[in-house]
Amino acid sequence: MATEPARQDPIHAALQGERQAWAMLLADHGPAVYGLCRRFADDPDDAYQSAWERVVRALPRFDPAGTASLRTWILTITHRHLVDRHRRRGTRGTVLPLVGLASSEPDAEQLLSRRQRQARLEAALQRLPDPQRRVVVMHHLHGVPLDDIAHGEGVPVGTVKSRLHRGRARLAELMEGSR
Amino acid sequence: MIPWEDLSRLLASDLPEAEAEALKARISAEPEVAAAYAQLQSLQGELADLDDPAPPPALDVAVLDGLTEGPRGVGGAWKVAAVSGWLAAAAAGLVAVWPATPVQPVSIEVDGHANVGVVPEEDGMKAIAASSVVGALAGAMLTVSVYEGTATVSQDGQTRTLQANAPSLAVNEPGVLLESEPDQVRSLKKQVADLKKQLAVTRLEGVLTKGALQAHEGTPQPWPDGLPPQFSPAGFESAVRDALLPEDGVVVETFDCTEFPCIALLRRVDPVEGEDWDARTLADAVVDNLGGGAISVNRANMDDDEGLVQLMAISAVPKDQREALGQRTEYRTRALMEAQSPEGP
Repeated sequence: MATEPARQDPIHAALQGERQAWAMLLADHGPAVYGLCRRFADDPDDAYQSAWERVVRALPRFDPAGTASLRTWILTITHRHLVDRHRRRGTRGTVLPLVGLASSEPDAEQLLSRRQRQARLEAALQRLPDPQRRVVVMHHLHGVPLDDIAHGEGVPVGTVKSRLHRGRARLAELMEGSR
Repeated sequence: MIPWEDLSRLLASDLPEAEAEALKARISAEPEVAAAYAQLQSLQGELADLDDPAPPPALDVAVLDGLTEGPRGVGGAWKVAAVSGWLAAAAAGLVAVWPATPVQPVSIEVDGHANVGVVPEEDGMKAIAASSVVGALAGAMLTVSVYEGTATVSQDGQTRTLQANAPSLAVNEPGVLLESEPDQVRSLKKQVADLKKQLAVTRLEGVLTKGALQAHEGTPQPWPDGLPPQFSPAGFESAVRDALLPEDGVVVETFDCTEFPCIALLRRVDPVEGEDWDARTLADAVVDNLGGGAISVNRANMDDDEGLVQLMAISAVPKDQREALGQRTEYRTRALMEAQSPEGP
């Protein structure tokens, strides 16, 4: 059975501008990229767009035979991009969407306990200092190796480990306190 | 006191052996430390289980359109000619000074080996026919400069300047020359293939930017027919103002009703660093005054010369029109808030 070109070599097909290939890349990796943008950027939609721009620019350099999977590679680019954005923006004010207020339907309050705990965890994540949050999210949510995170952050891996442990410790404390 | 950080290091085997043993002893002896250790372990699993929020569908569609739609809106011939000119220039270090005013085409023969077709047109970026230049470069490294009708051709340290003469001569194709130089042809073909790849990326970037802008700003929404009066500009403003109690310490900064839906921008009078603004109470009061509906609330913390500034933006629509709280309203909200920032929009 013939396989569609986009499925055979999605990267090559994407570089040729094939819609199906990009649709596959977005479907496969869009939520993870958007997840990072939502958690790291104060304007996630804009960050999402510009992250894909970075991916497009870098895609010809991706080595499918290399050590990093396409997912890890895309997330690493997104991570580095978000770090750059953060540094450029300095201490400028942030716009924080209030999750859960988009609807006033009667059942909006009736969340399952798992969802509530996840919401608390998300809230706790937002209270971590930015560098700690980035490390925790990249490593635990997306499985990016600490070496790659260190590269993206531009710091030694020992610093990343310290941030990871401080971040996890702070998270545990926050979760303990919010019970 | 719970040694959270050391427990985390223990989990990752990042603790020196002696310290690890001591901590394990504490875990065995102290239930609260054991509980903390267990919590840290489960925390890792919970983090891994957190969902990634899906991007708004409109955002993905816009990105996809941007990635794949091609150079729509730009004249195809202009685009191809412009990029081709760039390809040729980049391929061999060609230096070209584009004419400021239209000049007539010329054709220049160099040492009987190559023809350089110089075809300046009204659009300066179309000035050189790429195929001709590539053909010329197959036989010799040339520098071609064109300025207001003068073509300068340099080869082997010799420079000849030719005045552009009308009537024009046809642009010459390099086919014969390319066939006689197979190694250079192969080299050039590889360069062109590489550049085509870059061209594809450049083209994608362009359309992506266009799509990004569209997705970023959204599309203005018309005021719906039959909108309940409480969601009209006057009704919404009244609902918001009535929800503000003097003791809340909140003032109205502005209402933006230039598009549907209205957005109310509120400011906290005496913000306290580190203290969250209870948005839900205020949002609930607004919804009550509206008699129900879908509401969107965004907050911003900013610093100006006088200290912390806390802003809240509220917009609301009937429940069956909650899509209207999507990208466009978010964009307007962000613009409203950024306009209040000391750095401006």
